[in-house]
Amino acid sequence: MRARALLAASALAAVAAAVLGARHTWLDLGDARFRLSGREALRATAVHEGLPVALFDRWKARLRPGERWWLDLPPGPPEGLTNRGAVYRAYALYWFLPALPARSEAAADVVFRLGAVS
Amino acid sequence: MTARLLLANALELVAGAGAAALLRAPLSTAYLLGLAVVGVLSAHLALVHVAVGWPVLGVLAGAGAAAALVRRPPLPRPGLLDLAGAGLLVALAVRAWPAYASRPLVDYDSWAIWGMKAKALAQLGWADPSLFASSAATPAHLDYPLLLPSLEAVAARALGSFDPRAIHLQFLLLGAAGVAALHGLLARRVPGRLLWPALLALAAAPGLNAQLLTAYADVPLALFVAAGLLAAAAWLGGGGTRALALATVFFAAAGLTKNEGLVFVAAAYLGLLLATGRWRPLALSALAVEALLAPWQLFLAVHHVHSDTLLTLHALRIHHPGIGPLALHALLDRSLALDAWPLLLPLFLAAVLAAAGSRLAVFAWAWALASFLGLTWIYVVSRTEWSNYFSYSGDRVVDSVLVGAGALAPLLAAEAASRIARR
Repeated sequence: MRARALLAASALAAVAAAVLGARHTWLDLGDARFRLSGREALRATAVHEGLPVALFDRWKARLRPGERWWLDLPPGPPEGLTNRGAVYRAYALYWFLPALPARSEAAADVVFRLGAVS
Repeated sequence: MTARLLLANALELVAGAGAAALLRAPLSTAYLLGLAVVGVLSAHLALVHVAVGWPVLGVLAGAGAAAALVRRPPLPRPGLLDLAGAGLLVALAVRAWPAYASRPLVDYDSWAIWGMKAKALAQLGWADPSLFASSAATPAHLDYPLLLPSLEAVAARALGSFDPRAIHLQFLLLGAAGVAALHGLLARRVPGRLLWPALLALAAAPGLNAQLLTAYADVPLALFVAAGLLAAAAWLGGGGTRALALATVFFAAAGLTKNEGLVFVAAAYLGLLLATGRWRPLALSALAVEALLAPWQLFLAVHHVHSDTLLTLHALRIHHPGIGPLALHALLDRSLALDAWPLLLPLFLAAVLAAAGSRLAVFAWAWALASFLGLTWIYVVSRTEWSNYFSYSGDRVVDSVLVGAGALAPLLAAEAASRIARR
């Protein structure tokens, strides 16, 4: 008897979960479309993180594939599980590819400096 | 451009069809199996400067087609309920497509970790240690394995370049592959009236869809874990060595997707051991998983990349004694969120209780409990302040438990129904 009731509860929960989830997800997916040009989409990461898009573009233009770069900037204020400076560095890793990070300033082909991060 | 992505995925599906035929697995597991095989292979080949593109995909698909033609796996014969359920899933995918196709990489880990590595693999052609083992790239979690970035890189090569929007479609396709695999693994043992509501609940869960859209690794990991659990449950139900081999492939893919995958894989072996007491085949399976992870572990060791996974001694250094109950409570709270995973955990618990006393129920509860405790332990031993860490990860780390539990629920319900019918 108890197993029957639990089985019925499980089956009912499945139907209710499907209805609740589908309704929520259907609406969310409709609202989740972006309308960006190709250029805007490429830079959407930097825009979303509040990074200086034009500065990163200028820096990237100075790099050739495989060149080693070094980013000299202060840590800045805490942000999430890290700090603002680390967000700059993470974005540089992503954006500057196929140029690669140098292990030290001395080993870099190109050094970028920034006095403060915002 | 999208057509080329679809063609690459079709080749991955055909490669998986061969693997499914060899393992006597349902044909609808072929797509996820193909992604697992290509993912593991491309991740390891990336370590030795071999990029997986059209030629390798062609060879794998050719081998897969040959194996499928020799073994000829049985084609599914859908009933009315199957057609209706599949129709709803297709409608959901059609609704989702524009959202995935238009989304740029705006979620932090999607570009800072997964996307950066994928773009690097696509542009450099391999896991160049001057990036993948560089102290300058430490914030990108260099110890996270390469299956997902490798699959993204395969997609990027097919697309012609790393496109931050189109790459999201690979995640939607992986989601579809995962749901198809779960259906195939369930359909052999679960009647449609129990299978479809649970599968639709899982596929339509807001948590699953919202997180798959972020291009993070958590939902792909959850799908590999869930497929592995269902294959393991088939072995438990007398499915033979091939069922365990299928589970092994999915568990290896899970371990190579995210380090946390090993928590869920270890929990699965614990559950299987408790349910069967058969340690020899399980030890062999676990060794096979380890062998498939070994090249990546060797790369980390050779290049001295620090890892804080639960497999190292760091897992025994308790940084936050006493927060265990708080972390477990917080994880359960996220798992019960109606706006993310509506009723999935209660559905699983009711099904476990309904099937109580069966080996399947022992496996299911032991896996779920061990998984929750494993996740809790991550917060206890983490060096990061736990509540801050939890606020950035708590809603994602539960994905594998919930997708796994949601996948096991209809199997448990079918087990309970068959026990009731036998009385």
